[in-house]
Amino acid sequence: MRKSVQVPIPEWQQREETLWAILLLAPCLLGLLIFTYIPVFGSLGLSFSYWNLLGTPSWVGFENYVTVLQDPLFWKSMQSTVWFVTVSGVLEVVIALFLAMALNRAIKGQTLFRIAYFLPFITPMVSVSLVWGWLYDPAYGAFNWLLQAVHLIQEPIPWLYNVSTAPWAVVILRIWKDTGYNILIFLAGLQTIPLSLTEAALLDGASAYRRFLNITLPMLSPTLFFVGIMTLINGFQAFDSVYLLTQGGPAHSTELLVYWMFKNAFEFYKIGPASAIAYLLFIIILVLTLVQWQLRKRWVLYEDETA
Amino acid sequence: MFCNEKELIFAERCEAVKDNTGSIELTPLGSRKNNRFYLSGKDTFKKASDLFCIRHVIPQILGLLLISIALSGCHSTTQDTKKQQGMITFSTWGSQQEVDGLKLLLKRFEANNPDVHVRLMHIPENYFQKIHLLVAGGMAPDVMLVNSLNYPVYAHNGVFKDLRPFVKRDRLELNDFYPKALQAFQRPASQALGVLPRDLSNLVVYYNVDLFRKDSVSEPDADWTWPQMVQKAKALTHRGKFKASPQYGLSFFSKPPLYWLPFVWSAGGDLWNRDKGRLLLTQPASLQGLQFYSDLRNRFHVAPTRAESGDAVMSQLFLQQKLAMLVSGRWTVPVLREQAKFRWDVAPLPIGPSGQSRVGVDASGYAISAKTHHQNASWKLVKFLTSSASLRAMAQNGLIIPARESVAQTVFRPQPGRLPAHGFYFLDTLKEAVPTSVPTRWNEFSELLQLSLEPVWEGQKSPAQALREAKPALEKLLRQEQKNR
Repeated sequence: MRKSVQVPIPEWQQREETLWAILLLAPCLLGLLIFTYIPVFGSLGLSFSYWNLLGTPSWVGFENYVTVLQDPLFWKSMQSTVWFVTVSGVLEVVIALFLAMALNRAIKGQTLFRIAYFLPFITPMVSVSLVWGWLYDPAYGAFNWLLQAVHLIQEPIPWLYNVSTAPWAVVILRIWKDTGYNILIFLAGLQTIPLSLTEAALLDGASAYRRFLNITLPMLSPTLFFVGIMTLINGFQAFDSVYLLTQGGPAHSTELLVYWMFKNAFEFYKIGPASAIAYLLFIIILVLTLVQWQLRKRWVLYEDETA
Repeated sequence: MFCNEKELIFAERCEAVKDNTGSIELTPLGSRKNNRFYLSGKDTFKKASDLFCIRHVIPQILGLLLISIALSGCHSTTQDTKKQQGMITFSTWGSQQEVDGLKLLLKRFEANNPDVHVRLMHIPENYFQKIHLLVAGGMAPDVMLVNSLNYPVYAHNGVFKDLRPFVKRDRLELNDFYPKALQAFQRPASQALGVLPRDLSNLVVYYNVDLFRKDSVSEPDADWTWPQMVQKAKALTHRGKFKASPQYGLSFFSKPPLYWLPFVWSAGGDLWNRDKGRLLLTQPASLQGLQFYSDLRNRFHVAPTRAESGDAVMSQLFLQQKLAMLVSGRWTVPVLREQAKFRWDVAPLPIGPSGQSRVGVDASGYAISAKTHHQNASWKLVKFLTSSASLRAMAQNGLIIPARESVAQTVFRPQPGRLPAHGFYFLDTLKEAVPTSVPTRWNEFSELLQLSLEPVWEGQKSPAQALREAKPALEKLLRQEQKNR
């Protein structure tokens, strides 16, 4: 394998390269600054103030945080979100891993399958949600028609209008939508596993299950870790699917945190509590990522450590 | 092998590298030691940077920037002088047909006022969300269409100009406007008038005359009562399992309070008392109204459940003749006139236990932004849009009940062959109608009520139980409302 050899570069040239880099990055950085960094710090300030977007914000200290943490609806959203993140996260990763392993074999129409699984990921959520809303419809939706046609159910299921089915409806949509991306990452990970290891195991007479457990899984652990973190973060940030499909209903059952934050900010114009929710969410995601990062040391195996 | 990076994201890159290594000279990207990325063909890179030496290019870039700024500056100033007199922005909601009609009116306005140019901002959905953000961003349209439900929060924050000085200056006669419409836009404390009303809206019962005849049900009149409504609706509901399509007696809306409020009022209840200090929704009369509305769906089974109606909108079901009676406002008239393939008519909502049939009356109208730079042009537009001629034009296709009584009287004069035959009920119900008492935090109230009453409409909780649970939160909001004064 080739390694790049470092040739010392004269100082003036390095400086110039830095200038170039800054210049070329400037448009992107400017956008980030205006639309991300300034709002991020702005909302930190707003989370400590009362503001309905119309008057001038006034400082209220920790009142917003207290209000939010005392609000039963916040905890209901939190509960829904945790359920959603856990269920959709586990399913998304497991299903994607399973399909990636299947697609990693030399099967007929491999490319076609890969495209088919990836297509939902690049389809805009707005059109997806609209179509899925129709598919779920109890009166003329395709899902109920299908389930009734094969006699799995007698009465149509009101997917989106029942407290117990609506969260599942959202989860199913998310799995369909996101699995393709996870499959792609898993495929890339699977292909980096050296064939020599598998061959050696085969010669030793290891079963498929053993090979998966002792070779594939450890070798895939960096990818698995990455997919896990991304799925977790995406799950906590889920918004568009519930905004378009259920508007948080019925009875608050799909009111995910980000959507609840959006409602507070842009429907009730309570910018203070909304910013507080944003920061609470930030803390949650940060803590979970740190925990995962710590666990990584124990779980994740890197190739050079095996050598 | 290639993939010894510890960065996670490189999973994808590794593949690319693996595929290409043979043909293209690429070393793995992002070596961990120095965090710098190198292409192995370093010579080409060096040449490129020599070619575009940054010290040579900077003046050119700056020059280009300056020129473009100067050009854009010139551009805007020339435009300004041309239309300095009054380029005003005017925002409205509404369907495309409504806006097409409005555009004709605006053309007439611009012909009469050559110094004013109107830029129409049509916001078909989430109207107040967008307006709110425009106001917050200091870009409020000069003239805005506003309704009485959303008026208080803006008026309270001084978003609108008080129109009384203009009314006084031009000696505009306000007597022609329905007092209830003006009342909806008057601040209780200061009496300031923020809006000149365009229309009033209330609820009536639309019914499919053909379906009534087919099921031999007598048509409702002005004196019908709750039990009679149930009786008729029962006779009009067919849920036969093997029937091609079910037919429901009555529409059901579970979301906005607008639709269940008439039943609360007709039972003698209300949301809260006059000064919004005391909650009345938990009182027996109010609970009776809520219970009756829930019963329509869950006890008498004359209204479709959510599972039954699914994604379909009530007015759609009515058009498809799957619904015999539809509770709705004046805005449904143009659609029915255009698309209904059956005879239809309207009746007032039935009389409740209080001995009365009371519906709410909401209004909408035109406001001027307090921050406008073109107050005279804006006022001209508001005056024009609320003139008798304009309101008549807007009411012609049946969309609105005009806020001017004289116009309403002529528009609603019965004409042979024009549906609905009993259109005057729209005006009759106005007499008993009460303006919805709207707090500045209406959106929050509305959401809270929707959320707590949802189990009631689903038949899972009694109104008393649901409101007992929601009471502390509702009373807290009322207390905040008092503090806000």
